[in-house]
Amino acid sequence: MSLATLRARIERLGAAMSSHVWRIGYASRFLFYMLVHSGTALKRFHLTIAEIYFAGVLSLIIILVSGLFVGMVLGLQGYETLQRFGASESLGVLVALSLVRELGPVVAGLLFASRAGSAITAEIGLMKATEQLSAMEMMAVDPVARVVAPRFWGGVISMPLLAALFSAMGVFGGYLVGVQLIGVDAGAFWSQMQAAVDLRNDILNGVYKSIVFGIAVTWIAVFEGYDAVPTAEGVSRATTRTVVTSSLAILALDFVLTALMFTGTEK
Amino acid sequence: MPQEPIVEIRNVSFGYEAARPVLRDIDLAIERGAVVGIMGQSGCGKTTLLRIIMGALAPTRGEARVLGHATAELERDGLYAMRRKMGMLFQFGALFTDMSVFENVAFPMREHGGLPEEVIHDLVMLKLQAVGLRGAAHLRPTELSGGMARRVALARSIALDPQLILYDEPFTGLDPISFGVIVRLIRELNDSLGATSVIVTHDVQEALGVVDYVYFMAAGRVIAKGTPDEIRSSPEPFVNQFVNGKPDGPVPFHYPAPDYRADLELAPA
Amino acid sequence: MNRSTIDLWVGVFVVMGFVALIFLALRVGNLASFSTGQTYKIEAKFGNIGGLKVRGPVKSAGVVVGRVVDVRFDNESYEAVVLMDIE
Repeated sequence: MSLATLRARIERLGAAMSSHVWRIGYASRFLFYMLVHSGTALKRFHLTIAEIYFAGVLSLIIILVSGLFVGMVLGLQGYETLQRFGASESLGVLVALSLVRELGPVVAGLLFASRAGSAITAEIGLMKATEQLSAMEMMAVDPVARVVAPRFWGGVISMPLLAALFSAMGVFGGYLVGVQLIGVDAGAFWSQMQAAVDLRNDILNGVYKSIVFGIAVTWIAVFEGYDAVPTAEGVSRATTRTVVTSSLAILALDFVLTALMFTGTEK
Repeated sequence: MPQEPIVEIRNVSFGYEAARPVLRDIDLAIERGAVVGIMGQSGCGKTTLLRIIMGALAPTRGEARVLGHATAELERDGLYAMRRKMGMLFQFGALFTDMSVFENVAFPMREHGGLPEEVIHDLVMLKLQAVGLRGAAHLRPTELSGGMARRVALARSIALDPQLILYDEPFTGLDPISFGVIVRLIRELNDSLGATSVIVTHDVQEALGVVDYVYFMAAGRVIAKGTPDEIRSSPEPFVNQFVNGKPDGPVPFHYPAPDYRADLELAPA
Repeated sequence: MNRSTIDLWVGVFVVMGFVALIFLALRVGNLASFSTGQTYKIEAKFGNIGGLKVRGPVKSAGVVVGRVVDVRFDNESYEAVVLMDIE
């Protein structure tokens, strides 16, 4: 490899990095602008309610069903491992803590990103491609305030509720498999769980995580839609970017938040 | 005192990059009440010029004055105030697909507030009647044909009785009947509203039948201007080729290519 | 899909979400075991607190009789000082 090709490759890499960093800055300015112009979304709340419907209610089925299955698998796998140490009565603890601390916010977040996030990106991108956003601008209506902000707040409000529903269904799934199917003692299942799961440390931290994930996923979804290249191919690429970037963001943020919340001194 | 033209473009140049200008030294004046056509080949810069009139782009040189304001100097609020007096018909209508026809036309009325629902209802019916689609008020945009969608978009663009109506390629993809409908509506609405209309198009024959004045563009410059008759009989060769639809002329038929025999890999003659 | 139907479903969704949160707080977590009765405080010193945490249960004969309120370190005796609320 000659020096010239090496230098060319490094230059391309540098340009790609700096364009990503620039894009994050651009997305941040967009977020700030949207937050400042959220008045319409809050004053005419029916706009936001419609978006809670499209992001939250229409995700219910996939969240509830996935939550149930994840909880059931936790019950199976958990029992399988715990009974080797004679600790099968702690199954409730394992299921509840796994869901409330991690799996609830993270898996619900990933499902939300792929179902609702991609739908939001596609919708906004399509409105851009068919000049509906320009038409709105021409009618002196700010499309960010009228179209983007309600979708953002709809997603942010829906996400914690979906994560809580996921965790609750998961616990129920774990109960179904552990107690009803396998025969772990119901009393032990619930009482050990209640003793080990702390409201503030575990449940509330899980809720905070889901709020952070909701903000991240919805922000990415509306930005990618608004910034999409206004062609069919551009919209499809933007939708893919939303799902990929949201998923990576959730997993990275999960690490950071877990390190902040669950390690070190607990009070 | 003579009235200031509704649209005045003075010495405007524009380019997204400094090295490649899209518009060069454009001078244009549109009088109140006129229907003016801006015509030319695809890519000659006419849509960019329309965006400058809209205020969506600022000229890199020169001044664009619309409805008495220099568009480049307006802040967001001023721009929105100016646009409330304008209406724009986008190429394929750009109707909001999540709303019905009625709600589309009512949109500008509702967003710019203050009118009670009964008044809005009557106004929407009025506008739809003007374009002949009052019976379609409950339909959704996906249920409309191209021509009908275009007409609904037209009703929406005149919802607030604008002083200036802009048309971006209004005749694209229409069947002959819808064509005739739109042509008739452009003239009727302009006259009944006392408005001014600017039509960007490359549908020459039909446009020449409806406009009062034409600006002809090529490669970012205005190369001819005049009344429809003057344009039809223009000596300018490019205008001539365009108006008469000749396949070869100043705009050549063949895209630049190497020697034909060499491409076919034949020995040179 | 008119506005009142959407409002209904969103209302149902929000109620479901809150029910799930309450379920987690009461049945899964330890919110229900916060007592509101009279408590008295006991301070105890330990050489090592082991896995003891704030809000952890204090049991006597296997019955939960109180909660750990605070865990501190005594600089002079080099021991852990645990403050507990007992019913």
